[in-house]
Amino acid sequence: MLNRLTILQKLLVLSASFTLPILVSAYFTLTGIQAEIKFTETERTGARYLGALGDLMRHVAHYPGKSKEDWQRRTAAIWEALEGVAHQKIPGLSPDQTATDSGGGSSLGPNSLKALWSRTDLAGTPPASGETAVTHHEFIAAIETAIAAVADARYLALDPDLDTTSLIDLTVFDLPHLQAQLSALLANPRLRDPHGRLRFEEQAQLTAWSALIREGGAQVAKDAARALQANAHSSRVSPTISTTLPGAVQTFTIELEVLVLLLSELAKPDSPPKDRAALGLFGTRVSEEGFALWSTAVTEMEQLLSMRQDAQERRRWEAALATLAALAVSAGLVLLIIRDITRPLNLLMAAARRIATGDLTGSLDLARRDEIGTLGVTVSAMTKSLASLVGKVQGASVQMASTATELAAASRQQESLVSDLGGSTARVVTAVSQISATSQELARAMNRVKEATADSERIADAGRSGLVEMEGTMHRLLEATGAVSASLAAIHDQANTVSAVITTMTKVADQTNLLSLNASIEAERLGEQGRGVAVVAREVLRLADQTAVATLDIERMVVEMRATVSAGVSEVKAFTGEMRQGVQTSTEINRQLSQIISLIKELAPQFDSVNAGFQAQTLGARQIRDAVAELNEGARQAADSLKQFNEAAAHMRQAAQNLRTEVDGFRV
Amino acid sequence: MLLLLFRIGETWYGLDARQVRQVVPHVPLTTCPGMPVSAVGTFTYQGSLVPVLDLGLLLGTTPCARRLSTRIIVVPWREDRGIRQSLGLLAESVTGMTQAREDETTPGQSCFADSASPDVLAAHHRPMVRRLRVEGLLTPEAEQQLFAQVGRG
Repeated sequence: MLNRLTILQKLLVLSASFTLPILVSAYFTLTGIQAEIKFTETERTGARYLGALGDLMRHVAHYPGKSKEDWQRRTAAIWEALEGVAHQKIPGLSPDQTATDSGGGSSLGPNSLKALWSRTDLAGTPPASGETAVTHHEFIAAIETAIAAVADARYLALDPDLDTTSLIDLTVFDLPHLQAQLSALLANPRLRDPHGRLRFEEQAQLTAWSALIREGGAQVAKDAARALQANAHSSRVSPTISTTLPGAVQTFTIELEVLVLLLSELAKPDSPPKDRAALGLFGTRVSEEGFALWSTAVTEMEQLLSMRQDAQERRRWEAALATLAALAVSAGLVLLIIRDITRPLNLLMAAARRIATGDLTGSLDLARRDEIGTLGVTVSAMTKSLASLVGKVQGASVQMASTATELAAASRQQESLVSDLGGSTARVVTAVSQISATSQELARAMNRVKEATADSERIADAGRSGLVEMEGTMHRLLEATGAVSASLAAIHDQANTVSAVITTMTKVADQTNLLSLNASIEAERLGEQGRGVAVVAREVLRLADQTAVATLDIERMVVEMRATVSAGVSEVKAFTGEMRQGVQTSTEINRQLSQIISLIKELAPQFDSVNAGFQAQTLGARQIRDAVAELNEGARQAADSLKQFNEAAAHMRQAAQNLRTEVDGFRV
Repeated sequence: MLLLLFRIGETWYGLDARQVRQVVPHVPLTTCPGMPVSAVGTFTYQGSLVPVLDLGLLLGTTPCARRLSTRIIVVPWREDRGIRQSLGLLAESVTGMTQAREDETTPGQSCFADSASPDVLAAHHRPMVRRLRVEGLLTPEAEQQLFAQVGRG
């Protein structure tokens, strides 16, 4: 709701909100003052009521007049005084209130007093049948009660205040009491009788009376002194009290002293009765002076109350005027400040409207040093910088449009590059996969090579140990060969011997064979004559043949044996040589095998390192593949981003055009 | 018919004993220039020069080895101007004879029954004996060349 109000309205609401408590405070102040005034008014009423009651009491006190005219005049005065009493309205005190129907306090309304007066034996009209007559003394007591009721707190007729407390004590309690006592004293018919002698108890009673009266007088004098003292210290000083009251008090006191002296004289047993005639005179004078003092005191009190009321009314007016003046001043200040705020604000608003329509040419100088002035300076600076900015923006929008076009072209180029990159990465992935597979294959091959090498080492080791055994065997064979060679040599010698014998035998058999053959041939040529020869020749031939065959076999055996032995010897020699060669060769082989084994042992860790290298290569290839896959993903994302970038560039170009259109609306 | 057995290489041959003049040992031979290849030399038999043909070269492929059983079979060749000329045939294992029928061109299994040296036959395991005819041994040109040399010698 506050948003709908202008600043002017808000300031007004602010002022009103501060005015409201002032008004409320003023209202309560004024109503309080008004209540006090009203109360003072009531008190003045109470004082007037008190005056009327005092008047009544004075008339009643001097009732037994000297003459009939005096009596009638006094009765009329009493009635008038009663009317005057009844005329006064005390709030809270019913006019018809009697002493009995109140809640325990002693109070009497004016109408009750009237009724009571009509029942006295002094009113001139006889009381109605069944009603007891009211004595003079009882009526005075009733008046005293009514006077006391004035100061009763229940009726708020008189409220003891700083300035009136002692006067109230004087007028309401002490002096009426004294007057009532005096009245009772003077009304005593025995004392008024100048002839009779006083009885002892009557004399004692007089002494008591005299003491009471003296004490009452002293009380009255003390009250008057207190009243004067209070007046001297009060803020509101009655101008008359210091002149009227002391004189009245002094007169009353002197008269009272005289009366007291008289009473003390009368109380003496041997006092002459004629002195009692003077009692009435002095008593009346004391009573008159007392009433004069009472009247003076009531007047002063009324005056004090009047002065109080005047002061209160003046205070009321002062409060009202002060409030109004303060309000007027604040309203003026508020209007001034509002005008001071709204005028430059309107100027600022007009300038802002001008700027809003795009007119940046105007300048604004408020010549102020407050926040609005700062705002005006800031707005001026803002307008200037806005003007330069708009100028730059106009230039930049053109540049931006061209840049957007270039961006679109560049992004398209980049898009094609990214798609190329996607293809390249796919090829790289394929290649890396092949590399990975190849390296894994190589690693497996290396493992196989390594196993084969280990086998080779084992085999070479076994071969070397076999060679060592073989070498030992060869050495033993060499020794055995030596033995064989020796045996063969022996056999060879024996064969030679046998051969010689056989040669001889063979030659014999050969010759025999030849002879028998030729004999057979001769016999055949001879025919029948040679038959016997032929038989012999054939037998010889057969024998020769058998011998030849036998020798031939032996010879052949010997020859073969010799050849065998010779061959054996040479073979043994060759074998021995070969064995030696073999031993050397096996030693050489053993050495070479040892070298091979050591080389193989050196190779093994290299295989391990090569294998580890292959594994690292495989791992690296895998990592490359993963990285390329990530690259591919990145390329894809880049392509997406580029697409978005393309759209953004198109938006940007559109925006640049829009911006240009908008910016052209400004006048710089 | 009595056949003189001899061996060329692995083959046994038989020669009619009636065509044989004498079997002589393998004496040292004198070689002459201009003789055919199969002629290994000449030797003097009963006062005349006899050319010797190596049947190993003529019928086989290798020359005959020098053994005790390797002998020269002297066969009568022809009459030339009243001189009986002979031819020496060098062969191996000329140690045995065997009986055979005339019409048997190729001796069969029965030849071994009469074999003079069954051990030799058993040793060689040659069941078949080829009959050699002396007449077909030399062509006229070879004969002339051979004996021309002999004659001149």
